[in-house]
Amino acid sequence: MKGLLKFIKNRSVVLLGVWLTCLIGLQGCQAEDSFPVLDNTPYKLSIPAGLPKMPIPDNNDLTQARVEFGKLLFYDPLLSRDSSLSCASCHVQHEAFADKNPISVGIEGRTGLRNVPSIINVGYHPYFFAEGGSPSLEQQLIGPIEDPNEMGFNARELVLRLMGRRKYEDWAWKAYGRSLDMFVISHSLASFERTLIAANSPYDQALNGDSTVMSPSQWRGYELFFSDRVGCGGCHPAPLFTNFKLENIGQYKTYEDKGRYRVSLKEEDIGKFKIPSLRNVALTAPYFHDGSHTSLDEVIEHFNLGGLGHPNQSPAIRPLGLSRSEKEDLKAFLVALTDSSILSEAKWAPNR
Amino acid sequence: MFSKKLLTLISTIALAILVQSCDNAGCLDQGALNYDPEATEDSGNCDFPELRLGMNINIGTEALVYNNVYTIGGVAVSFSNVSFYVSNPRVMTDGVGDQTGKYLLVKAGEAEYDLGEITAGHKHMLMFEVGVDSVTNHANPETYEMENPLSFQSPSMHWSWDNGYIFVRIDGMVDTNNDGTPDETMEFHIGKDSNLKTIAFEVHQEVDTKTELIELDVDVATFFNGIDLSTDYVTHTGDFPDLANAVVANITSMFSLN
Repeated sequence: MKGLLKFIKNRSVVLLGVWLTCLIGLQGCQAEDSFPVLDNTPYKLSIPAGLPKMPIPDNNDLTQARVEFGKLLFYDPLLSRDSSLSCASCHVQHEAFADKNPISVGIEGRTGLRNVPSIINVGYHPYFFAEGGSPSLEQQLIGPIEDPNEMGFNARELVLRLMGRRKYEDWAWKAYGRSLDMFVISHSLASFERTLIAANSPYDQALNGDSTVMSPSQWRGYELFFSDRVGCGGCHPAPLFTNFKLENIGQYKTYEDKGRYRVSLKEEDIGKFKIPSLRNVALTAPYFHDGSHTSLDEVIEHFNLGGLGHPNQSPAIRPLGLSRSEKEDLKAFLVALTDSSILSEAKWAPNR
Repeated sequence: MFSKKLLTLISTIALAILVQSCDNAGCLDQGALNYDPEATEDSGNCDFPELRLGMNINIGTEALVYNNVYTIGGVAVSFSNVSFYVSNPRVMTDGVGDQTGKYLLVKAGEAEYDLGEITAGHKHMLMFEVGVDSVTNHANPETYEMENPLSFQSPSMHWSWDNGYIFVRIDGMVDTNNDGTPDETMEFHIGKDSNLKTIAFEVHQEVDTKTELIELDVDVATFFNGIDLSTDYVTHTGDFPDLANAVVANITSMFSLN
């Protein structure tokens, strides 16, 4: 005992003890509090030949960490109130990042307002939602999270749900060098969505030199599509096959969903909806803002008849007098805008 | 000769400093509670009144209680949320006054809001806006810290599909089949720049103590004046603008001085 006391009284032993305690204490703190450092390794977007440069917001440069975290969130059901739905529940990869319902089904089986659009090439859109009221992808994606008929949740409650969870905090620090908040969540999700770019359809391959990939019928449809007589290309110009304008296509005489009017409150905007891209259109039935048209044949016939004559109807919508074979050719061309690689592209699929 | 001049200069400066230090130090700001009219030197120690704004959210004259069933215009109604933005509450004397520049998110059950320091004296008017100004209205909630009323709220006070704040949000249930039990979801979500309302009261309040309170009663039933809630009970402003306009016209009359 005396020997032990003497040993402890030895100053160097005490000092060693103090040092060891400090070291263990410090290490403990580090393990508790240290987050990954910001990783700004850029994500290089591969823009297919023929598509323009994608606009990226100044405050959200694409990095690998942001895209990876965004993908994780995209497939994460914690974004919905009852943790039953993720973004991918309605933007289904093997359904061209849309789904086959006229109106998608939200939490507890609720039905929303509109047909879900494909989000392939969504990073090119200048504004969002069918009435064009949301100015950025970062802001848009809060819409489905908070819509009571979609994910039925709330941005603030989502942050409170995820903050403090190690996995999400680690990603937040790695992607943005800050603690998890709605900025981190929305900017990561938008980053992932911007990587959903595709333009390798038979039409693209034909433009890039291999004209044989399009059938004679598809070429005839191509000519019709861009002709002055039919004029589809006026609102659906290449390469994105939309000019992103808001138009009334004479779908109804009275619109229950008033479209752009909901934002502008101007009578002349009743029934105006954002013109969708026709890329991959053969994969994204049903059609129109309310999913009321089940097939491309029905859609083509709508435009052939020239609309129902709403006062705000675009003058571009007029009777076309298409023959049966012309309608078939147009449809064949629309099918040529399908890039089926999007259905299985591994980098967009959830991590296993 | 030269050194004599220098000596005189130094003496003068010394005397000036001495005289100054003998001056009476106090608060020189006439808007402070401890304004000292005798003071000739700023002590840097002024004390200002702090203003609090009371907002009693009522049905009639009784405090609104969530999930209680009330009768408004002959229709049974219950509430699950009543919240609205108040911007830049200010007390004025002859058009000049204390601009607080604050944004408050007023909710049923939270009675008092801190408006910070104002100047003392007679206050003729209280003014504020219900809603937020057009610049702030189109800002993104994610640019604000979570404690800020303009950040994301639950229930949400911002439309992601319309790039603007919800100025007034009232949710609950209404009775649509006249059996006395609310059965359908009621949503009045009012926003848009054109619906910003300025509210002004003559308060004639002498502000002369450290903590000053101006208390308003807000009668939510008045919001629905002229509305048949059994048939008209949902608007997100843009989808049913006529109903939105009808309730916006009632906003001013909801407020009264306690």
